[in-house]
Amino acid sequence: MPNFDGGHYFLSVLIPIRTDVEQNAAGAWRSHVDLLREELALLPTAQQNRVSRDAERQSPFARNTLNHLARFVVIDDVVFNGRSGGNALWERVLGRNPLTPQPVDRLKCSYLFFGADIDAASGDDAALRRYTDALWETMQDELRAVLRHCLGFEARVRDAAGFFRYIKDCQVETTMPFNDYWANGLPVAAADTRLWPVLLVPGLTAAVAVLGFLLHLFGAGDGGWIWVSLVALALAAAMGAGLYHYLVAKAQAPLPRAPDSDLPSVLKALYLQQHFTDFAIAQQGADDGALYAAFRDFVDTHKPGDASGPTQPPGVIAAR
Amino acid sequence: MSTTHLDLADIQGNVVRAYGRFGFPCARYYFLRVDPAQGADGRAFVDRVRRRITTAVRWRQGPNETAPGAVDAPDATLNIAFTFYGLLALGLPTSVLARMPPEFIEGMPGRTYILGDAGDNAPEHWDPLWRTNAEKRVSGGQMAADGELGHVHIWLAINARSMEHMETAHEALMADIAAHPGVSLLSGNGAEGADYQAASAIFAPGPDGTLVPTGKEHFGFTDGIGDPVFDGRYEPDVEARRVKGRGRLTPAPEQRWVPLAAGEFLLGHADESQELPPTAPPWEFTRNGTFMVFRKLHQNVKTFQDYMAGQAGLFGRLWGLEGEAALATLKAKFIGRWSDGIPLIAAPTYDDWRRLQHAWQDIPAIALKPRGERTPAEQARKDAYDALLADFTFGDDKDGIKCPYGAHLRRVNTRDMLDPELHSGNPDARTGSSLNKRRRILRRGLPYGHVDPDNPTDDGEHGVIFIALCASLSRQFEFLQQQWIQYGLDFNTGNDTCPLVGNHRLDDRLPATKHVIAADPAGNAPPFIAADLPSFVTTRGGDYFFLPGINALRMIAQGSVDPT
Repeated sequence: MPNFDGGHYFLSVLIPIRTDVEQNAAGAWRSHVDLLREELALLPTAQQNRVSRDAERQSPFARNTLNHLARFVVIDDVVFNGRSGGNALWERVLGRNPLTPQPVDRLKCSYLFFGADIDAASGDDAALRRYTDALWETMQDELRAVLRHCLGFEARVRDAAGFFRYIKDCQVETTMPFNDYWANGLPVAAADTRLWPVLLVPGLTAAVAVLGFLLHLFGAGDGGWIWVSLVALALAAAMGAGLYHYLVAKAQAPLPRAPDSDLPSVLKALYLQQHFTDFAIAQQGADDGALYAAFRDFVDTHKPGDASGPTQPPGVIAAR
Repeated sequence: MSTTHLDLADIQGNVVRAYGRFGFPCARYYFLRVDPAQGADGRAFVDRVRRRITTAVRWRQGPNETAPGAVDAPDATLNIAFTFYGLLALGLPTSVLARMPPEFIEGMPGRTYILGDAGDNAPEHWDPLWRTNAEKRVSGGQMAADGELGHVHIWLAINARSMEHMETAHEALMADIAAHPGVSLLSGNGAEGADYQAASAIFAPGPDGTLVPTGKEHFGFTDGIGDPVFDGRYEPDVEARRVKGRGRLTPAPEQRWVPLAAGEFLLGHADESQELPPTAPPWEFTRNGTFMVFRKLHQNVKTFQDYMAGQAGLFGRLWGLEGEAALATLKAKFIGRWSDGIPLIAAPTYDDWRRLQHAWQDIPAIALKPRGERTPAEQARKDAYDALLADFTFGDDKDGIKCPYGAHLRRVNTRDMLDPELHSGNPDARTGSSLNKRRRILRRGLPYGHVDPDNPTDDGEHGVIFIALCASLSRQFEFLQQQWIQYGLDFNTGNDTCPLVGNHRLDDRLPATKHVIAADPAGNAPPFIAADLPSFVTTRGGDYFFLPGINALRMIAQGSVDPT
C-alpha cells in the first residue's frame, strides 16, 4: 500500500471547494476559492527561511512532532495541454477534421489538495487517526478557517472523529511516495532480486507450447500435439498472470523504516550536528586529557542518545 | 578540429581575449548616461564610437598568431556594452526590450537576494556611482522614486599597451563624449568619485629585476588560468592544446576534452543543450552578442593575511608544518592552487610544490619573451607548463584529500566532480563534466588599486574588477554565484560559502561560515576546520550589460532595431 512506505505515512487528500458564494461584511459577494486562497496566504509558514525566520507567528503544523512536510495547494482545474496533435496523414485516414474542436476536460469544481509526510507505525486507519487527532487538537481554529470553504465541512465536522472521517472520505491513494531518509541507499540491494527461479517453470511451459505448435504444423504425431500446445499455453498464461501479480505485490510491500528517520530523531540529529560542529572547532589542537573532559561535558550537556531533548524544536531553521 | 566558423570581425574583441594576457596591462572603464530626452544624440554617439570598436579578428600576436589573415594588434582597444536602461534611453522598441531576460532587466542591484549582496555587500555600501545607479533602477518590483530611467547606461572600456597609448585613446573618447550633449560621463567611481574606473595588472620584479605585469590579484594568487575554450575561439592546433582542462569533458568511454559549444558564450549559436540560447528578437540584433557582468570586488587584504597568519600556527602544529610551509599550504587549501597557479591536484603538499617549482624554474623567463622570440623548445616547455596548470580532473581526488571540497577552485569550475557516477566504481558510466558545462563563464577584467605587500591594508581602493561573459546571466553567472559561491550543498559543505569570495556572515545570530580541510586518512594529521571566517571580499558595485556584436551596434546607432 503506497500510502505507507519506509515508516512514513504519505497522506494525499483532495477536498472539493464550495461553489456557492458568500457575502462579506461590506455586502459584496465573494467566491469560496478566493476566500480560501486568502486564508492560506495568511497562514504562517514555518520559520525556516531568512524571510520567515523573524516572522511573528509560527506555522501551526509546528505544534506537533509528526509532520516532516505538510502542504496545501488549490487546484483550480486540470491543465489544458491544447489540442492533441497527430500525424496529418493518420488524422486524414481516421477521418478527423482538424477544424472540429476536441473536447476539453474540466473539473466540476476546484479542489483543495492537502499532502503530508508524517511519522506512522503503519498505513492503517489507526495511524491516520492519530495524525488527524493531533491536528484537531493543536490547530482546530486554523483548520476550521481553511476548511469551512470546502464542501460539507461545516455540516459534517464537529469533533475529532468527524474530522478523521472527512479526511478519510477525501483521501486519494499516494501512488508515488518519496522521501530521502535512506541516505546511504535503499536496502533493496540486499534482497533477492534474481528473476530466473520464478521464471523457469512458466518459461519451460511456454517453450512446450511453442514446440507443440511447431510439431503440429509439421504434422508430427497424429494430431495430439496441438492439444499439448494449447494446454501448455493456457498453463503458461495462468502462471504468467500469477507471476505478474506476485511481482507487483512484492514491489508494493513497504520499505522498512530508515534508521532514526522519525521527526524527533531527525530534529535531534540536526541539533547534534550544529553543536558537534562547534565542539569540533573549539577542541582543535586540544590534548587528549582536555579533549576527553570536554567530550564528557558535551555528552552530559547534549545527551546524544536521547531524542526527547535537548533538541531543536520543529519549524525552525537552526538549533541556536 | 574546430567545427564552428565564427564571424570574428562581427564579435567584440573582449569575448575571445582577456586583454591583460595579450600585453595590455592597463584598463579604464567608463560609465555613461544617455539623456532619455535626447535618444537621437545618444544614437549619434554610438554611431561615432562604433567605428573604432575592437573586434575578435585573429592577431599576429598570441596563440593564434599564425592564423591565416591575422592582423596587427592595436595599441589600445575599445569595447562597448549597454544596460537595459541604456537600450531603453537609446530608443529600442518595447517589442525588443520586453523579451530581454528578466535578470538583465532587473540588473545587479535588483538581484541582491540571489547574488548574496547583503550586509557589507549591499548596494548602500557601494561606490557613489553604483549606489546612485541602484537607487534609480527598478528593484524588487519597486520603480525608482524619481523615475529617471536608471543611471548607468553605457559601459566603455579601453585597454592599452602603455599609459601613453591609454592617454591617446582616452583623449579621443573624451572628445567624442564632449561632442554629444545627450551623453554624459558619470563620475563616482571609488571613494574619490573618479570619472572612470582604472584597473591594472599588478607589477612585480621579473627575472632581470625590471617590473613586469603579473597575472596575480592582491591576495597574491595567479588568477584567470581556467578561461573556458569554446568552439571557434582558437585555431585548431591551438585549440587541441588549450582545450585540455578548459573545455568540457565528454562522457565515458572517451572522457576527453572538447571545446564548449559557442552558444554558451555567444547568442545566435547552438549551446551545450543543443538549443539556441533564448533571447530577444530580432535575430541579427542579438547574434554574436553576449551578456556581461561588471562587478567591482574590494579585497580586504590585511584581514586575509592576518586571518591566514592567525590560523597557520594551529594548522601547522596539527599538520606538522612550520612557518612558510604552514602558511602557504593553508592558503592553497582555501584557493585550490598554490600562489603561482600550480594546482593542489598536481602538487598536494608543500614539498611537492617546491619540487615542481624547481623543475619549472625556467618558465618565468620564457613567459616574458614575446612568443615569436621563443625557441621551439622553449615554447614546448611553456605549453607543457600551461597543461600542468589547467589539465586535470577531480576524479583523481574524489574525496577532496588533495584539494578540499569547499576550495574556491572546486566551486567556480567543478569540472567532473559533480559527476554522479564519480564514486560508483564503474568508470564506464562516468558522465564527464555534464553538470558543469552549462555553468561556465568567460573571465575578463583586471585588478585595481595598489597594496603594499609588506604593509597590507583593508581600507582604500584595491580589489578586482570582475568581468564575466556568458549567454545566460541567470543560468551561468548567477547560478555559480548563488549555488556554488554562496552555498555549499553541491559540495557536501552545507551552508558553508566559498572560503575566498563568499559572504561569510550569513546571519548575525549564527557563527560565521567555515572551511573544512580534509586530511589524508593514511596520515596522522586531523582534518582542519578554519572557523569564524571574516569577509575577505566585499562588493563595491556593478551591473549587467548587453555586449552587442558589431552589426547590432550599427542597428542601435541607426535606430533600426525592429523585430517586425
